[in-house]
Amino acid sequence: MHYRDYYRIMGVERTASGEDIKRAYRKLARRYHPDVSKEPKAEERFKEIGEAYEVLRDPEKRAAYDRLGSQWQPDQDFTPPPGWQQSAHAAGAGTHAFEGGDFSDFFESLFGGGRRAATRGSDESAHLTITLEDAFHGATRPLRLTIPQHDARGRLVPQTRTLNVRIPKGVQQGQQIRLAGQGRPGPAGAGDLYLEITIAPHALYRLDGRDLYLTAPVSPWEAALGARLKVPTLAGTVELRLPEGSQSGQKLRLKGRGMPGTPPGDQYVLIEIVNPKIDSERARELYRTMAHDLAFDPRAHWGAA
Amino acid sequence: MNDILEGLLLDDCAVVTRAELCGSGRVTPEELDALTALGVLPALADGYPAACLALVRRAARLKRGLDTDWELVAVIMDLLHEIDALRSEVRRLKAHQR
Repeated sequence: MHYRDYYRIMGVERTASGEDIKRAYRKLARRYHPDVSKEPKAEERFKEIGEAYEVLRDPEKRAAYDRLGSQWQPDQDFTPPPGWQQSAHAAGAGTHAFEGGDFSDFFESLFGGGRRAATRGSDESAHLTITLEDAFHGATRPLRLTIPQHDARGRLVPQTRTLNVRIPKGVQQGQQIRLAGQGRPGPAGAGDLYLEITIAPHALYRLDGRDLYLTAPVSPWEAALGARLKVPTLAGTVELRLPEGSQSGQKLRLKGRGMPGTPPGDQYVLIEIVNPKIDSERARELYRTMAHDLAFDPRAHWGAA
Repeated sequence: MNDILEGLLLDDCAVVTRAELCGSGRVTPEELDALTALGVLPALADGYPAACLALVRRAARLKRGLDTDWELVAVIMDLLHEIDALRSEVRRLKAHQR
């Protein structure tokens, strides 16, 4: 176990007043609160700050911590002095705020783990990135998690476990799934595990809410004369009638072919006319014929330039 | 350990009770009422959309973490909601530019 320098974490002197500590905490909390922060490792840092504040805001805990002396270096190996348990754990009662069981083993060795006697273990959260296909069809995916748990001697040790999680069909980007009782264990039961879903970008489809967008490259004659296109959807290939006289940028709707839901989304097919390369004299001739025979000015609406 | 876990999807279809909202959100019924009065939560007797659970959790995290009052939490929640909406709009526009 390593010593934690709470004063250094909070960026205050050992002589700082209660007000100084509160001010320092608020400043740091604003910067590292995981809901508002864009700093890397904000969550980790925020936990550290929360733990430091938990000790320094409470005069009894602070006095107990100060009794350890100031000769310790951050991260130095630490064992509580003999007789510590009896004297200091009393200061652990009646504290606020942070979800139970979230503190370091250093904190717990000083102030005990059962700060609020009958609390549930803390909630944990994790991100889960899935494919668009998984979101469409639903899936079961293994999730490897490292959650600190108490070992037989009551110490916090990181434990890795694998959960098989059912991804519900139609789950959307950013939605959360709550797995009750899969968080950190505690005296009054385990906390919950919250999974936040990210849907990975797809090579073909773009996702917009429940709607899917797919670009369909078509030849000029398919667009001009109309055609039947075989179009992929996440549920399989469908045939789509491309109307005569279609233009680039137009979109055709396949109703109800988007992501599942109530109501389900639609799939939009964006038409993109692709000109064939001129790779023969015959091809060049065909273009010349069109240029000659068709009275077509795509910039007519500009007026006489 | 190899059982398949089925979670609760926090969307607008699933429904959670007021008691569940307090338990999982780790707030008291009074705090839930405060959040409702401030418009963070819809005013319902019971049977909240499960998406409210994510709101309550976020509100409670902000309240505890910033050591502040519910009024300020409500303002921050509104702003975060706005930022989320703008971010997803940016993501949507970027996706269409590809």
